[in-house]
Amino acid sequence: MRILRCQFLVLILMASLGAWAVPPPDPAGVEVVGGVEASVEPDQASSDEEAKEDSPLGPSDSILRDIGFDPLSKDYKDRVKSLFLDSDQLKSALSLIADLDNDDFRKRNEASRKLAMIEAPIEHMLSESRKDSTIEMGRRVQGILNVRIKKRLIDALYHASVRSGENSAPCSIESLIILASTFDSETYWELMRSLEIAAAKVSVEQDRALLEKGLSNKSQAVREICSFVLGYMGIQNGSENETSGLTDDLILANARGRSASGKKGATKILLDLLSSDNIRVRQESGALLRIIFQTDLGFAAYDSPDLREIATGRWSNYINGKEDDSHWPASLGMSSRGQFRVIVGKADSKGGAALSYTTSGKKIENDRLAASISGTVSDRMVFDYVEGNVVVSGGSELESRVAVFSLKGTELWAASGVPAGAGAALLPGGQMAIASGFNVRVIDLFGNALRSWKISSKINSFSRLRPGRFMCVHTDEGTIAEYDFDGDQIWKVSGMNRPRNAFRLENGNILTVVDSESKGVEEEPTSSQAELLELSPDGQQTLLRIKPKGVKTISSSARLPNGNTLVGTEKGLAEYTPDGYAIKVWLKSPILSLHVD
Amino acid sequence: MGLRIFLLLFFPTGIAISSEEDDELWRLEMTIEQEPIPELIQLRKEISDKEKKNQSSQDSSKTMKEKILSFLKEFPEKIAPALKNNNESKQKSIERDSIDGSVSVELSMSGKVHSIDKEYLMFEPALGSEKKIKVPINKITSLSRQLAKVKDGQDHSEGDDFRVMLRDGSEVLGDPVEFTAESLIVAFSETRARIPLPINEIIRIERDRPIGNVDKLLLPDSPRRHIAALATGEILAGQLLPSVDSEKWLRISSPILSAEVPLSVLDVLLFPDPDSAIADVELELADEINVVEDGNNGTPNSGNDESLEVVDIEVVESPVIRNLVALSPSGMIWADELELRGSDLVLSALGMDELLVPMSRVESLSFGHEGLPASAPVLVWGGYTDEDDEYVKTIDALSGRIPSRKIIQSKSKVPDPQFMRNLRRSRVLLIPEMEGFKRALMKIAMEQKGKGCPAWSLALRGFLKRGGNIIFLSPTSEGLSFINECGLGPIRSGPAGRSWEITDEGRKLGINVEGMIKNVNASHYYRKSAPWEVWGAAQGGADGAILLGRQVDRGWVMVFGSDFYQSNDTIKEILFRLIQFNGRG
Repeated sequence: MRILRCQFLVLILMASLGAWAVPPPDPAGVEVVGGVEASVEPDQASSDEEAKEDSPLGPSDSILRDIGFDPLSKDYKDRVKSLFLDSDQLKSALSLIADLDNDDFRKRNEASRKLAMIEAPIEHMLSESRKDSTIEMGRRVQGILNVRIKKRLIDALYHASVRSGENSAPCSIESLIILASTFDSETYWELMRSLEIAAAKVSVEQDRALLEKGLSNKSQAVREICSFVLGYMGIQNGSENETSGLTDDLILANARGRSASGKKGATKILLDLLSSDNIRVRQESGALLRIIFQTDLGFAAYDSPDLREIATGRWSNYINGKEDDSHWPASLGMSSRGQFRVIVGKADSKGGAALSYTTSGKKIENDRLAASISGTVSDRMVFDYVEGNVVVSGGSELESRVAVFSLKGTELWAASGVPAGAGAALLPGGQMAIASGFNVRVIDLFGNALRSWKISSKINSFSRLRPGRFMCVHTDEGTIAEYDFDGDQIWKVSGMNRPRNAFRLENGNILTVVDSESKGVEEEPTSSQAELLELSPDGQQTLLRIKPKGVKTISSSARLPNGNTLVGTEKGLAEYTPDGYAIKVWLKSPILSLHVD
Repeated sequence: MGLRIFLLLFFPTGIAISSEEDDELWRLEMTIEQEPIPELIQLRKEISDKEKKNQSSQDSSKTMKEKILSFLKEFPEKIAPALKNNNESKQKSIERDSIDGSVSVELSMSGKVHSIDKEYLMFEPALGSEKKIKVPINKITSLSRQLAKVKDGQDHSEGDDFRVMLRDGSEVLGDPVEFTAESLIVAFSETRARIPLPINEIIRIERDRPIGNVDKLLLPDSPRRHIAALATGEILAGQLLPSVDSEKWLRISSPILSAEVPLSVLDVLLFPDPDSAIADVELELADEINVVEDGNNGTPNSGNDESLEVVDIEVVESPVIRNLVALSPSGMIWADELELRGSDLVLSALGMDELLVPMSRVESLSFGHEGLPASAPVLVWGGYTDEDDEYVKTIDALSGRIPSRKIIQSKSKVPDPQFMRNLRRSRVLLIPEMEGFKRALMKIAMEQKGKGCPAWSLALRGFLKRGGNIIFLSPTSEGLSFINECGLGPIRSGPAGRSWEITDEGRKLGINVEGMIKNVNASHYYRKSAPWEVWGAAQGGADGAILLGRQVDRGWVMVFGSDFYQSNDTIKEILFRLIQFNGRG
């Protein structure tokens, strides 16, 4: 430390003598710490170690640092390598998990101890093993998870993958394939998007054989990653003859890879995939086309076949008139936005009505957007990344407050005293749609009514999904529906038990809250009156059910990049694993709204 | 890097507002009245019906007077219609008004200012896809810079600047560079802009951070003279005159001494009130012309002549409507008219038709208001407060919520000129618990300085007339008598509760706290009584209230029974909301 101080003094002396070989650091320079800008002390960049402090860290890097994987530390590569299992380590981990149910008490204990120590993310495997396990094994698994959860190793894996580049490859393609084989590609949709990119970054032409072999791996995640990397390299999956036998999801993965690298040939494939029988394939193909061409021609994977055909026709006309040439890289997932921030709208005012956290749960101080939202309302928050704004609304049903902020927190427009109890949405040309009761009113910037739609059922929640597409929840009717710009219903899912607070994830799935089915007997104090459901994009399948214990209402929910779900209730904010277990309480005060960006 | 390129390339159509663009963004605020939508009318009816039902169920709890009135109403004699006419019809019309009453919608939007003239603002909203709109000035409440030019806590060259205070409440921060017979030229720091300030309009010039020991010096009380305190320690009193040699010097001349000093060594310069000087001269002249009542002249008419009858003319003080230009980093100018000409804002102010202020130094414009802008400071008065405890802790409670440069502290015991100057520039007067206040002290103050509660009453009422708000924290016993004697009451202590809640009326403060709020350390409750609105009521429907407010003239007097000896986030938030309160909710 003393040496550092001496170096610092020498540098100051040199500076005062005009001995700088290069200009001194810009005093106005800023570094990004935890997703926020913080002032940098320019004079302190006087040693190697301190010089590193000035290297720009993105939010993803900062999260890595927060959870003990400092990207600027010397042992970063070694530490990150430990996140990726080789085949022997995987076998050993699986064997230890199996030993948790061993008849021999000593083996069970030994397995518990060793599993708690493994430095690779195995939480998902442990959670999976809990299904159909004995009571004792379930308890052991929970105990191990309780120890491991603070390490947030899946978060570390996610961000290490996001950070991977040509110069900082944390792993090999082999280790990535092994690790990917342990994850379910749908449950860990966000994680898979970052693993795909990492795999593409570490692969070279010589890996082609390995990748092509991976196309027939029994793991869906491995097949998709291999197909993605081949696409990223501009290689078609298999030979011409073999391609015809490939499933649509692998063709999509290849097109996704091409899109991510901006290689030509992606758009025609994506256009064909709009007619796939696989709804997930249709969903992602439509999303990628919208990103590549920066236009929305109204295609939704879950619309009726007739509507889809019309929208596909529009895309066909649009694309067929263009060269299927290389384009700027286009990717799906949170990593393409790179914020990794959770905005929490709170019901009480302790510390502001909106708070900001990193996706691994560290509070971000001085977040301008959260501070701006705190000054208005935070009952509902709807982010629009294409237009670059956030619409917040709340307050009383008929005299609400609505505000629009830029993603950086600049207030662009606000009104109080307007009827927007169900929500609000920003329309092109600075018009605002505000919903309350049975009506959606379109007003101009001065609050003058331009037109309105009347909907047959009371609107409990209203938000804009995409240009010309709005989602409404009709609690009394038990329906979640989508409407077009003229107020015509274009999609709905019915028969739900008083749905509330519905929104679509980026993969098209719907997160919604419904009333729990009453058992007809006296409820236990820990039973919940509401549950959170994750539905497939068409609303026909329930993929996840979370029942927070002892809560009356679930106000909000959001998906974290590690695959876990944040659930906001009147009691606080908690994080749940994909199998519905609460693993971390983030806040213990009533929550109104949540958003992860 | 790839990600950045991606974001740049794929979201170009978005409202990508960089911090540089933020610099150019202005926030336009306006309030419009709209007809209520049918659902709102229906909802109001439902609420009104509910209230009526509740009222009828509470008949048993009526006071004797109310019982007699309702008894009389049952007879179809003359009394009943009179009562009916006076009460029921009024009530009905009030009900109808409140049910069909228009909705006040507050709007604000960010955008670029293209031009301002006497009648219109040409504005390009950030959300309006580059479409310019023409907004009538009389519809606008205020126009303020989206990002304050000088961020809070950021050190700037303010220390080298002078604060020039003017008679109409304007205040300009800059460097006095030139002094002529008519005006003092003040240059804004970091710009080449200079504005001439008429000498007759100036009350005081003081260095923001005095070089000398002027704070500790007692400046002589000499109403008809200019008094200059210099950085070198000297105090000069006399007639201010332009220097013979240089415009950067000023000359102070008295019958026996004449001194020339450079403007750069000036710490404080006090200007006499020109009116008082004139009055004195008139007095002297009047002394010289003595009218002798002798027989030739006869006795002066004692007032029997009808034509000379003195008629009491009721002088109705019409509100002065002016525009307030808040300057960056601080200061403000009241202007009659505004116009944006290139990069300069042309003001008709301080008796001049065209006073040019660079738009880059303007922080906000409040149109057509005598009241103070939201950006005006909060004056925390601790003349009778426990300095180490409640006073400091109240200021601490505001830290992080109100920029420190927006908090002015005053420990004046009486409304002295310094206090009054601070009060004039403030929007809110915050009075922490007046633990040390004794009525006897006011008596002494009256005897010694001629200023006691009557002076406070005048000062506070004047502040309220200008639209300022006053917040009293936990006034008790003699503190309550201060409020009452200043004519801001009546208020008296009431039954306490263990906790309290925000009432429906209190929701207009914008406090987002549901349920019961526990008392924090010493909490004082007051009796609910007109004309106070109860914003925070004791738990369980007791007669006690902890948070009250009443409108006095154009401002509000608020009383919050929390002393802030201890505090939590909830009561800090409430205090913040009280400070933010603009009367509209």
